[in-house]
Amino acid sequence: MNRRTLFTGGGGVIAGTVAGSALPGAQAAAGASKPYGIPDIAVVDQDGREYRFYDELIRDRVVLINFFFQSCGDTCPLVTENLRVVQDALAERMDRDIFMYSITLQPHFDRPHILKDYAELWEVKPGWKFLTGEPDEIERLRRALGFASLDPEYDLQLDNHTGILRYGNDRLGRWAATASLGRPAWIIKAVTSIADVA
Amino acid sequence: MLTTTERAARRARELLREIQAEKFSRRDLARLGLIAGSAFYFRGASLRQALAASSASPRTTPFTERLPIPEPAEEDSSYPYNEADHQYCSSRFPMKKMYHLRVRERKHRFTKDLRSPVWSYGDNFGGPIIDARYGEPFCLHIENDLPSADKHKGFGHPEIAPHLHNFHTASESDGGPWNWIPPKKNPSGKPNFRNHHYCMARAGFTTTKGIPAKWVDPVNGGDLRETLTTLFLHDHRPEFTASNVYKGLVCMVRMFDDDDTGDETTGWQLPSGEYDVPLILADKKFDPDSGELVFNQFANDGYLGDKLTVNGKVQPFMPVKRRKYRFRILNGGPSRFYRLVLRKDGANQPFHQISESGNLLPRTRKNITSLELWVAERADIIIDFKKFKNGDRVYLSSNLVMMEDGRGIDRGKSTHPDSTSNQLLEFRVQGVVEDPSRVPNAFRPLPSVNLNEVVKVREWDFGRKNGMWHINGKLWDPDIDHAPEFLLNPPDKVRRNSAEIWRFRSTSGGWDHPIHVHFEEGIIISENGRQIAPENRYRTDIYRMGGTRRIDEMEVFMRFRDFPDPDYANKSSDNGRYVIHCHNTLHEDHGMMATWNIVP
Repeated sequence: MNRRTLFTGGGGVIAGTVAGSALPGAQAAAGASKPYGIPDIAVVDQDGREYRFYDELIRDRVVLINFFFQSCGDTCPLVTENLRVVQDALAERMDRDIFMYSITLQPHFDRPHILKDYAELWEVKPGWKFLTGEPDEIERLRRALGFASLDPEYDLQLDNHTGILRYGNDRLGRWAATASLGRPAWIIKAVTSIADVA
Repeated sequence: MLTTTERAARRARELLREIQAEKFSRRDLARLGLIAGSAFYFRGASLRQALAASSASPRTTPFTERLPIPEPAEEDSSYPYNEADHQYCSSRFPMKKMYHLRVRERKHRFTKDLRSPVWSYGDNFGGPIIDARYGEPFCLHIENDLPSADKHKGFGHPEIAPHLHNFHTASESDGGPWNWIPPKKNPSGKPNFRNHHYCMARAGFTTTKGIPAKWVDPVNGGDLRETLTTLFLHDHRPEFTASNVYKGLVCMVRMFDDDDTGDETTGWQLPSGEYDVPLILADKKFDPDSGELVFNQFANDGYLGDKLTVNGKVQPFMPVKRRKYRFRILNGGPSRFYRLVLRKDGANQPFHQISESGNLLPRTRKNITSLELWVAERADIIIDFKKFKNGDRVYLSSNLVMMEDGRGIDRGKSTHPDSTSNQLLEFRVQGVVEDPSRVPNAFRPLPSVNLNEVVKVREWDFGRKNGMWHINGKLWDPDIDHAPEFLLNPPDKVRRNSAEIWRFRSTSGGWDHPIHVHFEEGIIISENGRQIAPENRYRTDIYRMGGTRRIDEMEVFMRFRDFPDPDYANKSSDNGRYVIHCHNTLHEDHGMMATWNIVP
């Protein structure tokens, strides 16, 4: 039987419900002055460094974003391995003009030291950050970035958010998504097609 | 002067931005509710409505813009063209005319105060109308003059893959989601144009098997009962189809022949010329401040606009004479479905439907009062305005409610078709002219469904997976044409000149999917295990999974004929390669597509 991992911790779920019904995703601010409604929340990476998500990690960058959780047994390890191949293939562009962010779906469990172990396990190189933060804020980020479903039952299952790989170029204001388990060749082609011409 | 409501909406919007830019907690939400929503609370509305109002398009006044009618595309054969590049081109169907489509960015006025950069085939939003005729093979020369990929800002990707929806087309001209055309300035220096060749012969032109002699086209071969009528051209760039089409890359295509002549004094005498009018329906959303088109690039499931447009105008009006008109209605998507009704003085007005999914029906559906239209479906209807008086106003409206995220029909809900927000188009009846047109009771019968021809039952399962959309458990791989394992052994091989039953199954739990198959339209023979009686069948290229009738299983009879051309010199691996996908373009862009191949 497939073990379903649900959101735990009342705070996250309640905030999710409230925010979900009140904010129609990024739609609310699409085209508005703060681009796409990406919230500029505080996040922490696997080395315990703090960033403003939008201003320091997204602004003017080409990025790949997925959501995962450390204890995820089904999809996430395959996705992480897939993204590692992408990381290796993008080698010299990583941390220079292309960045990858894997954001936890369980910020209350996946604290920086857990993420650190995880990143080391997958031989993560500079330019790929594993991010956590305050549960309410990570929840807000998840919704704003379109890793959520309006179907509350579907939305509660963490694994229902692990198949999406969002890619975007903030300077150009262009975003799309592909399968996080897609062939690395396509992922690379997709993200470089919207990256600035070198 | 701003009304209290508008002021409150503006304030809510400002706060929303402020909060999005800064910290956000339940306390902030409460603050937002207390302050921004207060005006709405006075009016008895909820915080949720207050917030929805804050992201809504600006208020518009309906029926102030006249419906634009696309001009026929102009022929221009001055572009380079090589017959050898196209299947059956030099051998049987050499090109007789060429249309040139320049894809460009321009500013378009949707209505007063709503002006936005859009992309279009040619100089007008919604393109020209491309007229083709059976027996006159033609070529489209498509040139991409959009801004370069690193200059264009915002949604939409200026790499284009124009696809002629529903035509019996060779794969190299299908415009499927491969080998898209880059804009002029691209780093690899690829050409920014491509030619598509259309044989303008009906399916079955290489075989007479199973076609009664009276239905064989004596000149070109092919089954006259396979004639295609109302089609459209739209973009198909993987992962950007929804945004590119939404930004304007759509145009109508009409196909004529010796019965449907385009002249109302000959053949079937269907209303023609200025009385044969394409209507492209598309819902849009506009930025409350700039009035420019907005799109949610983070939506995976669906996208709904709050402004209904027809031929690129928000709720336009159209002066009509007291006579018959043929309207070719297209649902241009991305996610909204319509149930169209014709309304006057609070009552439904009957009209006739002559085509479903762009194909003429065996028998005209006379005096119907409503018509469902899913994304990418076309329906030709005939309205006779003779029964109305000069000065009458008649409305084309929709009374269907979609679920908020655009994933499908909200089955339990109904809405009043006469509410302004549901009205698409206002007809203003004035003047009478001669009307030699007719509405035939019947057109051509359907091609026979012969189960003895079936060599395989092929299963297609549509569902959700990890937040994306899948077919047969797989998310579509746009790079499949570079995957050696796929090229050596495509998973879904269909034999040329064979028939199959395609069994569609939706496992996505109540979500609606307008499933579309390239290359060949089929005939639905059963739904949810119940056989469809022959008199209720029709040819279609959109299969409605879900919907009010909750169809989660469907069997479709399909024939795959003619292509690939066995004598085609270019033996590339994409000969015979086509796709099946959901035409809710948000699902399509998020994995719900599969590749299949026709093999010799």
